[in-house]
Amino acid sequence: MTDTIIRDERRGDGGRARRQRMIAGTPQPGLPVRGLKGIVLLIACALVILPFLAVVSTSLADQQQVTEAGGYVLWPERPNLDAYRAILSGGVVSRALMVSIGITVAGTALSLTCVTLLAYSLSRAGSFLHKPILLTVLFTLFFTPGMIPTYLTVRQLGLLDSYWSLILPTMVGAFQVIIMRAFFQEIPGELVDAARIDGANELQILTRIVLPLSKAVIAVIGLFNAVAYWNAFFNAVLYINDTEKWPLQLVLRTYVVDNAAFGVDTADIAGTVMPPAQSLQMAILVISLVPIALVYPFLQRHFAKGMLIGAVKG
Amino acid sequence: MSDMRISRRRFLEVTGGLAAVVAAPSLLSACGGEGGTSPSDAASANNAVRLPTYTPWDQVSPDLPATPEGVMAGFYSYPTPVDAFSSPPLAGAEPVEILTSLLGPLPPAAGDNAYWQELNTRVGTDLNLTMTPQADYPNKLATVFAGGDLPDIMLINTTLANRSDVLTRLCADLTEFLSGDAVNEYPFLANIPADSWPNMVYGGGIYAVPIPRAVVGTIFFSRADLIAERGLNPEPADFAEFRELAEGLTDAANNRWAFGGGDTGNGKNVITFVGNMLGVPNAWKEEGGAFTSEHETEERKEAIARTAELVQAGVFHPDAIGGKLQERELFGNGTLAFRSDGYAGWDILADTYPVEVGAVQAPKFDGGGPGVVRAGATSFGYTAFKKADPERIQQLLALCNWLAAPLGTSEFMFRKFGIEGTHYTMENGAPVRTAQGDTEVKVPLEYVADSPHVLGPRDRARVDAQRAYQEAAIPNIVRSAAEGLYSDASVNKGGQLTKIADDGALEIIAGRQPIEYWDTVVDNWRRQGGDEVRAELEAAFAEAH
Repeated sequence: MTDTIIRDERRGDGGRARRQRMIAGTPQPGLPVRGLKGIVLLIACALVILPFLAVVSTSLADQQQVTEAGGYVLWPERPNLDAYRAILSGGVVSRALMVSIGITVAGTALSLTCVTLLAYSLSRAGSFLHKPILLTVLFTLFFTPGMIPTYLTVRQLGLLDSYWSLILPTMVGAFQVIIMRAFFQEIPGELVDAARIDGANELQILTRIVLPLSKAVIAVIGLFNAVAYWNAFFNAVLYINDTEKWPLQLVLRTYVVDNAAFGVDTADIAGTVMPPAQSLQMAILVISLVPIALVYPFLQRHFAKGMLIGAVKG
Repeated sequence: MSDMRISRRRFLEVTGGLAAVVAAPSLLSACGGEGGTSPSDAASANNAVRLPTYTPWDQVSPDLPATPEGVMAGFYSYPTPVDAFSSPPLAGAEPVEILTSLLGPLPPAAGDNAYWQELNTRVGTDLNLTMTPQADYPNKLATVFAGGDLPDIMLINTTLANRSDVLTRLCADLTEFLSGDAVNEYPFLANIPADSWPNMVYGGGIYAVPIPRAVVGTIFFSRADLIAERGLNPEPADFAEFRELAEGLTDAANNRWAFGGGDTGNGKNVITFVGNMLGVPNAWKEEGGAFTSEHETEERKEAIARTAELVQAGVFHPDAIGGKLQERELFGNGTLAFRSDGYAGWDILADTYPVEVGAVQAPKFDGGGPGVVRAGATSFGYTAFKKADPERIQQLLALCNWLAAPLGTSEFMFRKFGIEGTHYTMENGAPVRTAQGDTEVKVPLEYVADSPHVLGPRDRARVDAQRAYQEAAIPNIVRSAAEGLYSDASVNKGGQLTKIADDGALEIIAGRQPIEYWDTVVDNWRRQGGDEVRAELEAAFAEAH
């Protein structure tokens, strides 16, 4: 993307030519400055990478090393997969992983569809019941029901122990609707008018004109939704009694929220040697991070673009 | 947007919690109908109820028998198990719905869990457990009560708001089945020490079965090996010697410190221990019907001042105060020489780390004998039953009885370790879990009903050391004067009040406030609910005596 231009600069002092490296129109700084920048960047990268490395390394470390280090290790001396084996044995976690993937994919798709449709109709002045619906959406932004009313509603709808209870209550976020509506409103009306002259109906205008222009905002809202569905566990605590339907985060929580957080309660009288608690917790972090880390690079391009929308006009 | 969702969830939790507190009384009175008892009726009746008679089960004798004062029984090895039941206790009964807490990893569901299937066979009916991680349990319980469809058996956690109302109006009265000698019908419930029962009494009736915990409570563990290595005195005779010991164990240059800040990171571990030297009461003391909180005593103030001095002296880990350390790991690798932990921590620390774990008794501050030992909570929670006909209640009690079969019975071995050959094998006289056992035998039955904890079975030296500690500590046990008395304010505002006191003490030991600041803290503590708790406790006490 950056163009390196080497150009001759002829100066008036006897025609001596001096070649200078230019990067995107700016002269390239000298070696010391570049070195300093490199060091600063290295430190910045290390600040990001080291915690990750510590998490992965600790998850692979054995008890002796964790004890010697007093918690986190930077490099496992005797790497082993005991922590992962302990978590993944018995099939509970792998099952929960499938549940979470299902909820995330289905939930994100449903959320995006509903939010897009709602935001688009609310972005067109004069659409059916425009004002009351907009006010209702805004109302839910400012007044949220409590845990118990929400629970009672879910229960009365017969959704307890159903995957739907993990999707429907959070499917349409008012704030998302407002962001998307604002984005749609920025799309020039002339484009819509032109489409209409060409004979397109509202649905065609949405799918052929508006959505292709809105990839960035869709990616952003989609990612936000996916992360929220992926990380959600509290609704499952309340609505899902059947542990076979628990999402990954809730199952992993049973490892993290261990005795350490509540003072020891009972010692395991069989004297079973479990992997170190710290390694288990870090292994859990890795397991729950991987899917998001896999998806993020593909969305990141849109994500960055989406963040800049509206920042600069022109 | 994700922030938005998180904040919304937080908001739900907060408003939900409030809703539970606000909604519960009206909701409860709606369900309770006529016959609700007023607090004064309740207190006078509390006095009248006869607690279950304690009859230790004696078909298997431990190597070291339990004492009536609360020293735990000890086992050096696994006794040959006897069959305590000849037939499934709930044969032919309806399935039992159970709601309980989960403190470990989630076990596979019944369909994929050979242990759970065998459990159902041995009990005689299906046990349908709804398990909820401990941290989320209060919210789960609040929604279950709000929804109105209670399970047959539920664990009531100690922080549930309006606990007395919930138990007496929504749950079954167990008095006629458990009071006095009636409990002999359920020999393993009769085997639960008397210490665990008083808190099960509400409104003049027994409304729950305890999950017994030993009265010994929290222990101040030490790295006995480090103390010996440096030739220090492991049994300080007064505060000055204790301070010497702490200073002797501290070596800043080598990252060696005496204390961390405890699991709450506010130095309460040491404040409490120094308080034990000074004779600070356990939560509440009573004199002539008047109640005084531990926070209001001069001794408590003194304990905070002395702890602040210890912080100044540099014997605390530099990140201890106001931070949260991985204390167990740091104890294990020698960075910390002391750690305050529940009594079960002894085995956990000694099994996990290759170190010698010791326990320090608090001496009197100025010497001349032992200090006090604060009694621990004698029950993990309250196992309550949904209202039902007597026949069903008897079935549920029979289930709890089965679940409380102690070490020495085949029922205990199955409950804790599963099926021999499948979930565990016996090696050198002790069970060793198989991989399948590690995964499947995680059904949290111990948070439905359990037998009293015992020391061991472990190697003789450790059991003897634990036993010796308890024999020395138990005579100095102080119980709270509020034990067995109920105060709504104490349950509903307890967390907030504890925070006021802890935060105030933290300000002082961190050196941000002088010790005089403690008076302001106590004033605030009284205004925010401390006085209200006192008034309720005094009223309850007056009624009961």
